[in-house]
Amino acid sequence: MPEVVLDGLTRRFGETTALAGIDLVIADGAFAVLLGPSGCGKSTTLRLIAGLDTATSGRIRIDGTDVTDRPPAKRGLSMVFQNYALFPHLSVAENILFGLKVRRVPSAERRRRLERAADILGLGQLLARKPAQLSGGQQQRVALARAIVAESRLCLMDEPLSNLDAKLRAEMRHEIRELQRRLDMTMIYVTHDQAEALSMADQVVLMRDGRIEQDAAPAELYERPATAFAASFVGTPPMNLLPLEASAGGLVVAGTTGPVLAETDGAQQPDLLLGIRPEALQPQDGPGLPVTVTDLDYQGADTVLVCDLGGHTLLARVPGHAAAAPGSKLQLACTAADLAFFSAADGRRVALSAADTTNQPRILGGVTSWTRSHCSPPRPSWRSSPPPPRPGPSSS
Amino acid sequence: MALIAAAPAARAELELTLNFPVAVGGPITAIIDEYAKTYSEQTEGVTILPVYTGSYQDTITRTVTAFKGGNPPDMAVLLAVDTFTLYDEDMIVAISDLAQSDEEKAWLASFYPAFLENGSIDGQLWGVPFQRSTPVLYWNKEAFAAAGLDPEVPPATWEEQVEFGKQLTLKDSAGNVTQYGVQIPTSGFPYWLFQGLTTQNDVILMNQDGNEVNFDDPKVVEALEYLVALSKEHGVMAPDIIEWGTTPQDFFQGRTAMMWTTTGNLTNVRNNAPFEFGVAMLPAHVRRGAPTGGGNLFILHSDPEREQASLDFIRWLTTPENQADWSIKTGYVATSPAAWETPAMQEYASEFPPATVARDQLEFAVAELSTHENQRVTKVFNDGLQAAITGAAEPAAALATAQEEAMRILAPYR
Amino acid sequence: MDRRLLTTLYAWLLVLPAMVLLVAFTHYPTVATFWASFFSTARGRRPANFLGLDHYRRMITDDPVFLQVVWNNFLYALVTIPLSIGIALLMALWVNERLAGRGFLRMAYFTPTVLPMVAAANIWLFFYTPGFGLLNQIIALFGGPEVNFLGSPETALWSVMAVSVWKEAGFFMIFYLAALQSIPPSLKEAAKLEGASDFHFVRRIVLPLLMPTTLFVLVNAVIGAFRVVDHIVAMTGGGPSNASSLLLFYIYETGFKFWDTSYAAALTVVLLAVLITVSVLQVTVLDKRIHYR
Repeated sequence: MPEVVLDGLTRRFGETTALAGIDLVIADGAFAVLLGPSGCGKSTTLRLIAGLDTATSGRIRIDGTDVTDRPPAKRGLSMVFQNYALFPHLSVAENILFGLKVRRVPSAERRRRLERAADILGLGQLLARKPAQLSGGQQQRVALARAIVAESRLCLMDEPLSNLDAKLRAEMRHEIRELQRRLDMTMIYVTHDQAEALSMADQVVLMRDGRIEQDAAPAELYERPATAFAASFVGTPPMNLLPLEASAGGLVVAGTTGPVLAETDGAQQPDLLLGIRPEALQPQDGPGLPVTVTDLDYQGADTVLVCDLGGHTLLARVPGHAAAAPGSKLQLACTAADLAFFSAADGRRVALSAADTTNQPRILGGVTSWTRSHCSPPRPSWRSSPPPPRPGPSSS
Repeated sequence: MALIAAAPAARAELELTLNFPVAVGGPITAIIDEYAKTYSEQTEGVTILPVYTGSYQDTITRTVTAFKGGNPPDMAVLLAVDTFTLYDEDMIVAISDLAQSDEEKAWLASFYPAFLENGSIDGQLWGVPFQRSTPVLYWNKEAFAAAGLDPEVPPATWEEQVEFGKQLTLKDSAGNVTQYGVQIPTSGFPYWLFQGLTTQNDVILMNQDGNEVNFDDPKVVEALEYLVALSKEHGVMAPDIIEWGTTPQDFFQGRTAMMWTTTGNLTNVRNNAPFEFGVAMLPAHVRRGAPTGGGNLFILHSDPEREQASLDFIRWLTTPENQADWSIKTGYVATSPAAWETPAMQEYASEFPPATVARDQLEFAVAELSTHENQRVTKVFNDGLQAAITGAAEPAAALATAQEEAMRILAPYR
Repeated sequence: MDRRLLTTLYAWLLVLPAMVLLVAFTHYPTVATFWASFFSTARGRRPANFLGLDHYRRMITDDPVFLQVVWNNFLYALVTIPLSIGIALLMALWVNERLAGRGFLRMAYFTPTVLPMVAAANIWLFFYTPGFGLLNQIIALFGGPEVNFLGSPETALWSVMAVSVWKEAGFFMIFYLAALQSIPPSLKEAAKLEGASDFHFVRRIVLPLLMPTTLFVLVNAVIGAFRVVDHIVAMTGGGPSNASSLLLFYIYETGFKFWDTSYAAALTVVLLAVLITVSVLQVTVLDKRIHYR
């Protein structure tokens, strides 16, 4: 069974470190997405797994076998390239069968697999065409077909949808996901598009600067980002991150006088960032976060309000067509459970102990009654959350 | 310098162009520029404009092309052997028609007859000898001494040339020759040096009218057999085609102890040979002999005034004094006996005796091979010679083919 | 005025300068050459007269030199074209790899192309010189006999061919290199993933993708092979006994040494016919088998 294990995988290019010791386990049959901004090491990781590049140190195990020193063709995997890497002078059928011919698969078997792949991907009419005669989506399907005729159970994809238009991209996401389930493949999929990652993955591996920032299921990544970076990378628009400062009553958003968002016990506090998802904020008649609307971003089903809070930009996603006009003042409220705190120094999440939850709504400075039961005033005692699994570069 | 030209008064300024076969920037250009300047200054109403046109081949190409384009130069220095070509194209004026005065006729009679032969067609003279040469034998005195030969005595006959050559040919331990006895270059235009051999064998290669050749004469065959035998039989000369251009280099580097080449190389050898060398007439056989070579001055058709002005310049250029000056500066053979009588030339000859070898050989010299369709005919001949030299054909067969082909080419002119 | 007429007029005006140049310097000379080949050469003292196809008959029956230069030229093309293209391809594949000193290698391979042919010929003249020439010195080191490369009929043409291959290969390499660099690296990776060896990849993927370049290079090489003249002039003068003479060199001799311009015109017509035939054949036959991106 193709379980993929990376053990202290490191890749350096001269002075530059592209991958700084990755430890990762991708379960058999999982749809794993390597997510991150460009230069984060996700493609390098994929190429190392494929064997197109050689690790500086560390091991790669596929299905329990150490394949680190094996050539690509002997690792039992297939791959779909960002530009599809179709051979322009070969027909669709020849492209799909290229690898089988190289491997001297008997022709009857080749025909069977070709028919199956063409059938699965709806390429039956296109087999005689050349890649240049196909649309982008069709080329994508040919690349997929070429990956699946190999019948390897591990498939790697390097930003396969980045060259397609938005509508086609959504369709193909669905199709690839279904293909992976139907063929029971383990998939490692590289993308920089967090929406793609959330919608497709069983397991999202968020990377940054050659390290894993967070390795979690999509829901967890979204709901409980382990770091400020994870918080800011995921979500449309991403989580608001606002600096906090101490005031007489507790912590408030820097540059504002209230409301108090967390109590302090007076001890020395590290600098903190407050994280709130835009959709957690709702306008409220009563007291809340006093903001000034500076702009509106109408998106149909909802509207993103661009607001100013103490000189910081705060985004709020509200349903439908918002009535607020730029320049108007609003109170935005949320529940305490929607608040996340991150260390400003290293970006890690800080857990607030909210053991003592009374029903007094004062902490949030008058967060409204409908939130009362959730928006409890924590009496926090500050401590850092346990560090997320982040193996150091020298762990291998 | 003598002042012959007497320019008529109040003549409009005449600009006469002269195509001269030398690459721009060579040392010769400075000499010609100087002559043109001197003449232009001392002759009212006439300016000489020399145009330097590269090799002889480039020069005739440019001159013929310019003529066909309707814009020919007034004068050109071209190979004497191309006289027929220029005559057939009706490009040139007969010098003997222009030179009508007694003074002018005397001037024409002053040249060595051997140099006038190539310029004569239909009993008229078409070119004035100027940049002329003849092949001579150069020998390495040190190599002669090392081989036990008298360093002061060059071979005087064909037999001696072979005999000396054998003594001069040296081999290394592997049997490869390190020094050959003699080198007669055969690339490009082998007919010229070969004509030395035919002349020595007392046979003339073409008729005066330039429409018949004599390539398959038994005496020509005999001469070619001798040339081929030098390498094939006697082993005193390198096999196959010997490059004309690198032969002096071979001589300087001791790869050959003797070489046949033009007197035009005299200055080159004098400056570059790292050993004592001698210059001699070519070895004799039935008789002594050598062809002449080099270029004549031609006047192209224009109008009588320009043609006469050109003739005046040419007469000035070939005064004995100017010939002597030219010969001393370049190494070309002065073309009239009077030039050799000038004090400058006398002094030069006594200082550098090899310079007189060429002059002395003129007595035995004949016209260079020249016919109608000259380049085509000589090419046929060259091809035949090279075929025999490289062993592609027997001398007699090669020459028979060349004779047949040449006579076919010349058929329209008979 | 009629708008369409104006547009048409405008279009003609735009192509006019190019048309004038083409007609004056290409079409008219071609037609004039063809026409001249039916006449004898006019000399100053004898006018041209109509000969019909006499010149062409003469080539076949009366001109052994012509037959020899045609044979030489075909041999020259047959040897130098595949050799220079093959070497160019190998060099391009070689310097396209990531290797130390790649830039230097590329430059070294390309240098012969930058040299003027006459300069190149002079360098090789020195290599070939009997005795003190480089090649003969190397042969002497191994105790071999002296070879007169340019002076013997057996070696002259081959020696001239070697110079031409040496010079052309670098030129063609540049085209191959450009074409190779336009092949995305992912194709090689895809092939590698499928288990294709380097050789298989080159044979099945690279060569077919280079076919448009190969056709271009081939057309150029053929045209080049039939219009070589500079290094023949500089190195052998066609000798010994026409052993290294090629068609264009013979045309040059006939036209500018023998001044038989109308026979040279007839020879030029033959050369043109050969070039046109070969080019048409190449483009029509090969084009069908070529994938253009």
